[in-house]
Amino acid sequence: MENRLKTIFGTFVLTLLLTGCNNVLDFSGFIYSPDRIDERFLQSAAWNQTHPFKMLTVNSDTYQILVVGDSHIGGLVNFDKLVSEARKPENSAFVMVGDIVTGQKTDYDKLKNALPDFSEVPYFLMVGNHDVYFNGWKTFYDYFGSSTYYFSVQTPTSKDIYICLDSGSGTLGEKQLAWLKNVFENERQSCRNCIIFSHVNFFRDHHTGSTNPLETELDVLLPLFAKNRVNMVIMGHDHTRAIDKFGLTTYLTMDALLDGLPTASFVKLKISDGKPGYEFQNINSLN
Amino acid sequence: MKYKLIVNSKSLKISILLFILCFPFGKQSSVFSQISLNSYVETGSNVVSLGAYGNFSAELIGRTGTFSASTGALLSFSNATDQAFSAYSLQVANDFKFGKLPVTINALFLWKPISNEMRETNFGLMIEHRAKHFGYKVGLNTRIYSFTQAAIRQYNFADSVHTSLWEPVNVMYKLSYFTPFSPKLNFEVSITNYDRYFIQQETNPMVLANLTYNQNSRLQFYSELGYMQAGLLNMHVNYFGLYLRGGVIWKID
Repeated sequence: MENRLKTIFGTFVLTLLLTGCNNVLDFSGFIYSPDRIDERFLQSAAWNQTHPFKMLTVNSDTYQILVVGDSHIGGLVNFDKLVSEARKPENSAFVMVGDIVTGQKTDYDKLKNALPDFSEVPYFLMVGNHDVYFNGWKTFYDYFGSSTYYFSVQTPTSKDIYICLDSGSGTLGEKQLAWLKNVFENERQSCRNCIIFSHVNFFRDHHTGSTNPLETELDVLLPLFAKNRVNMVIMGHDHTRAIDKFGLTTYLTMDALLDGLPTASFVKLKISDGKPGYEFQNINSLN
Repeated sequence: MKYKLIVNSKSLKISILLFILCFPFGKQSSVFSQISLNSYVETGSNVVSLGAYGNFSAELIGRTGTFSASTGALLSFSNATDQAFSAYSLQVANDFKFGKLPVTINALFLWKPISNEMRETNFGLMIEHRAKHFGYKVGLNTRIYSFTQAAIRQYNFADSVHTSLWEPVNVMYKLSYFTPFSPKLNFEVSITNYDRYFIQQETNPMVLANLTYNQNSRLQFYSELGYMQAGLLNMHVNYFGLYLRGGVIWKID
């Protein structure tokens, strides 16, 4: 009886724990990860020292940014559609919130070749868990630099701040968290809106195999975001959209942009009447 | 750093009242045939604790026949917070037999003031079976984050604003292996996603090791080591935190 219980329980736990696995996996990360979040953050911070945070200037207080997650390049069909959409005059930039590629260098090369010129279509990238598989962080850093930074959008009357975080290891880490608090302290007051991008989604409002930040960390982040009037936190990772509103903060989890997915979509983040709004756009309905 | 006790919420006042009603002073009037006090001190650090922290917990456990109830509170001292009272728990359990299989069904309530303005409330239900060397515990919890009434007034939230956020279902589990090192010394190691005063998401397991020394029939000393990591099921493990605690269980009656 006890052996049967052991088998059932072990199978149950393993099934539960491994339902988050998809294809293209780097199992070595179960045991040891060559780059931890604190090391990645220090590299990002070093990059930021020599590359000032970008400011986009727009001609109107109303503007739009496209946001995507989980493109998992490999395939480029949906990514190319996104870039075509981003070229339209109503869009000021696009942001990719992690799991951009599979982690393999060949896929990073595909991404680098497919990205438009920043001067034509501004874009902002940050890593998710897949991007750091197969030593992918080294390639991301070589090609694109920092994964922890912010950029701002200056309108005729206001400034909005967009904070890009590295949550590829399932935690912001001590150093990145300190940096975030510092940004809030020094920048938030002078900005109209504050929007955060972070790959790993926070909440489990439906059963899912996705990992989230530890509850211990959320117990710090939720009050921090409320205190600093964060308008929106846009996340990916789960591949299934979810909208959670808590206080003045909207926590938005996006669908994946993955090729072949019927629900593949991106978010149109529109700032109008001084406030951020959002609309999901299914990429398969675009030409 | 000055610390303050948060005791101004309605749910906490009700919980304290239940605490007092469940465990009236005086042996003659007690509803429990056996009462124990479990107390521990803990130190550790993690990604969000801003250095080392110290915790102190006291838990009162009553048992009569197959029924048991416990209530406990946690005080925390760290650079990350200026409020000392950080959790309150209430659990009731009853032993059953499903055929020949002895199990314990446990209901729990866990309340945490995670900041001056926010609370986290958990309700859970678990079933447990302990065999000779293995223990199995599995259940579900539901979690609610909420703003306090004072925060709602301070932020001047409109009626349309959501002042609470609900995570409906999370699986709780604990798989343990235990073995005696000697007649008085027992060792237990567990893979679990919860501990006395926190419940992680089901995809964030941690390792917990426990050493218990039975001084005599009334007194038990124990030490526990907890190792937390992030990102395991992201398959990019990252150290999150470590804690060590030492405690005593005293059977009062």
